[in-house]
Amino acid sequence: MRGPVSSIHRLTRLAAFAALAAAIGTAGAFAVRSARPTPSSRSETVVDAPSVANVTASPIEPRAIDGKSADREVTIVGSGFFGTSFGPFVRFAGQNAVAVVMDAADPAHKLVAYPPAGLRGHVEVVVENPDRQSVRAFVDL
Amino acid sequence: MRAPWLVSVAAVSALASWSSAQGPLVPTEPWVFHDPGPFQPKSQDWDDGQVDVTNPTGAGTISVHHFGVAWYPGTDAGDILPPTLHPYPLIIFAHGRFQQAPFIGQNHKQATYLLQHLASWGSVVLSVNLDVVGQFSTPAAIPQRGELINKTVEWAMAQPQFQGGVVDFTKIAYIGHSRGGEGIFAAVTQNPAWINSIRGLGAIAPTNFQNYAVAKLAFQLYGAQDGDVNNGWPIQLHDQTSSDVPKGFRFIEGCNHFFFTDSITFTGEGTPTYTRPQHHEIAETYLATFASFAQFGDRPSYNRLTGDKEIQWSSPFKIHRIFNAARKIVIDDFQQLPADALVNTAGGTNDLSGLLAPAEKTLDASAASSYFHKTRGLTGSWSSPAMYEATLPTDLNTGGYGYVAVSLLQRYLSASNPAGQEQRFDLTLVDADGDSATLDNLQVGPWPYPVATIPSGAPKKSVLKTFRFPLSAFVAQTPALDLTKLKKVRVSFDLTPTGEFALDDVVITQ
Repeated sequence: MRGPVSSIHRLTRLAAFAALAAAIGTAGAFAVRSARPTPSSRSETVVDAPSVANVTASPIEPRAIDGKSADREVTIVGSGFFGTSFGPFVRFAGQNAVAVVMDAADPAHKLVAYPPAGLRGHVEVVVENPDRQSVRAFVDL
Repeated sequence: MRAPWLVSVAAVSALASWSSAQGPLVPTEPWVFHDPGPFQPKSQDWDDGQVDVTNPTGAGTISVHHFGVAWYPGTDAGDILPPTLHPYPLIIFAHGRFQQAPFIGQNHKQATYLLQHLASWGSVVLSVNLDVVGQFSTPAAIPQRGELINKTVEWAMAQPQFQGGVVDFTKIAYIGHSRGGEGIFAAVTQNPAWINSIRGLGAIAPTNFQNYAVAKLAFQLYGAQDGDVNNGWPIQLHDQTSSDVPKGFRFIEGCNHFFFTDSITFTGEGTPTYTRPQHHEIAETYLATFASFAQFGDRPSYNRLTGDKEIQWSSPFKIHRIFNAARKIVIDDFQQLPADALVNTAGGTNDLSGLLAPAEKTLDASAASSYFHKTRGLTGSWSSPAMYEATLPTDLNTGGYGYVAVSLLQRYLSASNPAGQEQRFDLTLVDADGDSATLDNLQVGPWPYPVATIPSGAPKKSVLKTFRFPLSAFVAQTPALDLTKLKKVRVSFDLTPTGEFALDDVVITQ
């Protein structure tokens, strides 16, 4: 199901991330192509996966966004971000961001995301486009 | 006031038609709104400057550029054609979100095919740019879309060229796609001063972030191969809409999400069975029909929205309907609590002889992974002849009503439903004297197996389909049947050896 990513899907992806990270032995950002099924009848243009060049966090005055609380603002700079009815999705340590806003002037390259309030430490950030291609990075909250 | 094209509607003769996708009791005929209308559509960009909308991610407001494009019946010079018979009704169109270059800032021009078609039939159509809030991924800025839609009406009301009987601001329809499709529901919940002039909401594959439940005429199109809003939200939005108003839904086997735009292709959803021009044919025809009924209340259009008359398409599309009439006698909608499958909504009793594990349930994922509804129904299966038979507490006079309707779905991947095969049932009416008549569902349409999705891994959806049987056909079969004293309505599952189903909304209806 599109929209909020199901917990099963998330766990599967996180397991894949963990295995891949262990194999590569890196904490940097890297792209992961989704193993989404592709019918043979489908002629598809391959869209580049998103990439992340830089992630920075800054504290903000605690505030409610759509009924949820946020106390950090995270700026994600990279490339290949896009949205349809959904996405791009951003998850911090496996938790959906409270809010995700694409940069109005340069949406493909810059996002601002708000992690759930209280989340701290060196956490994983996953940006996932609506076509399920995703990229992982880390940020100190 | 009658629409000028109603004369031509009446003039359309029942030409010989090729095979219907429905049954023989559903005549397939050429339909006037299938083709372009008599007016020459012309367009101009419009610009309202900066306006404030509420801030999706905080307090206060944000300032956004309010602009779009207008399509209208035009002169050769491109001006609006002075109306002769009556002022033009107004349609506001709200596009969906495709937040990717080069479409950002241009998405309001991604349904030009539809806007031209609606203008050709005599409406002024204003498409409003909603990319100005498209940067908001989460929250989805649906209320802000509603604000911009309503501000578009405000802007139109202030334009001198629309005054003096040019535009009829008492006949407004909102139409939208995807996030814009939900935005039109948001606009209604914001209760603008002209709320009573909003005659209806027409949506293509709307999202359902906000779970709006409105009481306005609503009509939706949803492709079974939608690879974007593939979580069944349009089905839920339909169920959330009040049953006190007419509401219709079409589940279309070969359509996806973005082929309803002029040129957007979202590679993530793959290539659907139907071509983009076929998507356009379906959307143009249904939404012009919806707009005509919403704005003028004409019966020929109503008959196409109910599905009692099938439209002659360029190809034999497989389109399945849900329809709820405002005026009806509910025999069983399975909503009453505490749940009791042996008692119907009318206050009578149900005989469920032969059914295996009958139960009243909400038809969502809690009942089966392929269920996406937000309504309750009767679930069960059969492996020998079985039935649902509602006995009414008192004899029912069906005078003034034209149809008996039931809605049914097949459960996907049930061992009782052979994969890919249609199921069958028949429907019997029994009067107080014991006279009865029975019609097979094939008289009004096939009962489909849940259709394949593209991509193939997308969720399969078991969607209710409404079968409307003309009461006159029962009397034609059994002239002694007295429908002023209806006693029982029976759905029999005895035409196929096994099956698993959900049943909803057993009604005598307009």
